[in-house]
Amino acid sequence: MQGFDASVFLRSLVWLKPELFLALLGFVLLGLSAALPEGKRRYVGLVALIGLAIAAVVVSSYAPGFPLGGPKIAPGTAQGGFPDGAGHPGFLADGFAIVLKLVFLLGAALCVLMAVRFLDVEKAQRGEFYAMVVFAVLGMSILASGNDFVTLYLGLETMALAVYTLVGFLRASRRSTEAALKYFLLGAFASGILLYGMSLVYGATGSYNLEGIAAAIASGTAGPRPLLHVGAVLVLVGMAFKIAAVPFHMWAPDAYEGAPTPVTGFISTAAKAAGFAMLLRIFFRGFWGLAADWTLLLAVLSAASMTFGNVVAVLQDNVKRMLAYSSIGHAGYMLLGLIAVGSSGGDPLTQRYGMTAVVLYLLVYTFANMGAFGTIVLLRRGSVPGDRVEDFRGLAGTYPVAAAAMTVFLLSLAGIPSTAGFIGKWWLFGAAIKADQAWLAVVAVLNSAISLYYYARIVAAMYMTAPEETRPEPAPAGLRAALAISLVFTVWIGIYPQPFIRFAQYALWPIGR
Amino acid sequence: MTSVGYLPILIFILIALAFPFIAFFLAWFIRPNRPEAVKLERYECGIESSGEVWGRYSVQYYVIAVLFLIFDVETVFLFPWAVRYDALGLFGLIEMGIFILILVVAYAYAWKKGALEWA
Repeated sequence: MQGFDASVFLRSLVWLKPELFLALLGFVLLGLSAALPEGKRRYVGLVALIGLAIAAVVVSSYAPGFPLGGPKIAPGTAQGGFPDGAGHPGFLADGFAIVLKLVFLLGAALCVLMAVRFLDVEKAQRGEFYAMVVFAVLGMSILASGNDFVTLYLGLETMALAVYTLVGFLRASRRSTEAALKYFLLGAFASGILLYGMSLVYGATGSYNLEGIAAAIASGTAGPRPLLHVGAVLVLVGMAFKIAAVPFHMWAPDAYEGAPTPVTGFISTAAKAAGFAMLLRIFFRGFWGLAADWTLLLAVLSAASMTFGNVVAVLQDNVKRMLAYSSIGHAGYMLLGLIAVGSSGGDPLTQRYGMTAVVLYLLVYTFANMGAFGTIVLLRRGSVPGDRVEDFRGLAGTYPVAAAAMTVFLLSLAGIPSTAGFIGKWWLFGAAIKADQAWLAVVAVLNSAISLYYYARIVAAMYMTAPEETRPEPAPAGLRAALAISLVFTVWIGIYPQPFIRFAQYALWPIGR
Repeated sequence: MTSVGYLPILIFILIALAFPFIAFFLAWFIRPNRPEAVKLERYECGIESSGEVWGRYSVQYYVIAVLFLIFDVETVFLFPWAVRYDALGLFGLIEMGIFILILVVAYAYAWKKGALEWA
């Protein structure tokens, strides 16, 4: 890097507002959790919630038409900051980053709403929980905006360290600490593979910036092609670990089962969305010139994830574990959108379709999955773990509204019409067909049919068996709010998806550039 | 893509695999060999070791060690800034102030949480 220009740096900061705010919020929450006495720690959650809402406003202020002032980002254009020596920005502010950051903030807010009650039940009400959620969102936000390997890796590790802590938050619980250790070890291993791949790509192209890499590939100045290919494959392997795609999924069931339930919801939605954001950035911006090569690899990952995830989920008796395998399957579905873009052969219509499908599904999946995990939080009390299929017996009698909501969430995950999941899958499978990958769409539809079986098992347990207890305690306000938000949006997107499709389309960027 | 194109990759992998063996062989080949009983003893800060390796010690040791490490690393960042102070100027001063402020907040948090009290 030749010379450091402070004025360029300071001007770039204007695109970093959400991240700066989140960092500050995290520090405030840490301070509060140290300063407040034991009994008042729950208020840290409230402050976190308000802070996340303000962060959402700060993120949205970049969107055109938002009443608040400041610089705007028109759809399809990108603003960048922190350029490297060649002038390529290291940090991007575009519609994609804004939309994804809003999805992360949504996942975090739902997680906090559920956690207030959950931590009370677990007698682990500590303010650090909320601070870690905020730091994880900070990492994700950097990830969504990252345009070079260094920024992306920084965001990834910021997120991952916070999430490892969250998974192991119940220090006294063996399952929680075991899950955290497994998640940490495999996460560190995956990061190593990712870094090795990045170093090979840097060696082959002479740039760690995604635009620089794309330029080197396009102009043919990228060094030995095989070196680049091996690097790209290693990056893909590292990313596949992060999004838990088969065969790199083995950490997911244990981590999901052992983690505190709100955290399970958080890592299966927001953290997965962050992984997809990174995958999209690296492969659509950096490795676009190699699309013909990586599309087939993604297709294999996708088909394997869908099939393995859904078939193994059938065998599970623990609902969290079942949802973990279902989440592996959903990663496979979401990869369909990337494959559609990769095999579009430059057809902009198919590219737009595929991109929209991925972003829309990330949103849809956040609502449905957070809702499903919220119901498990509701069932957790005293001596009842709440995550076994038996625990759902007779829920229709004890909590009729929660049972109905859970049914909607599960139908949405299965992709039944009039729920959000149907719209999401319609776009994803449609994208695969548009891109002449009909065989993948067939695999996906068959897997959706399999998934209906195990989702229906929970519904059957809720409605077709008598309740074991007669006097349920009322659900706390935060949890009720989280379930209501998830339910309303799952039904809303299912019946009238247009505003949400437009929201997802704001995330489009001209691919290949 | 012909398999010839992947020859550099094969060579690359072979070198990577051979590297640790070569390094160990070279070290064994070059170094003088004077075995002594003291060398086989466990390491303990360079002083004469006392007690068992598997002895138990307070988990608080780790908290103190991590805190020490953070401030140790802080000085690593302070040195180059001090050396290049002329070039970095006011901008560098403010940047460094923010950096130290972040560490101070963390330190205050750890203090308040009782991480420094030896129980």
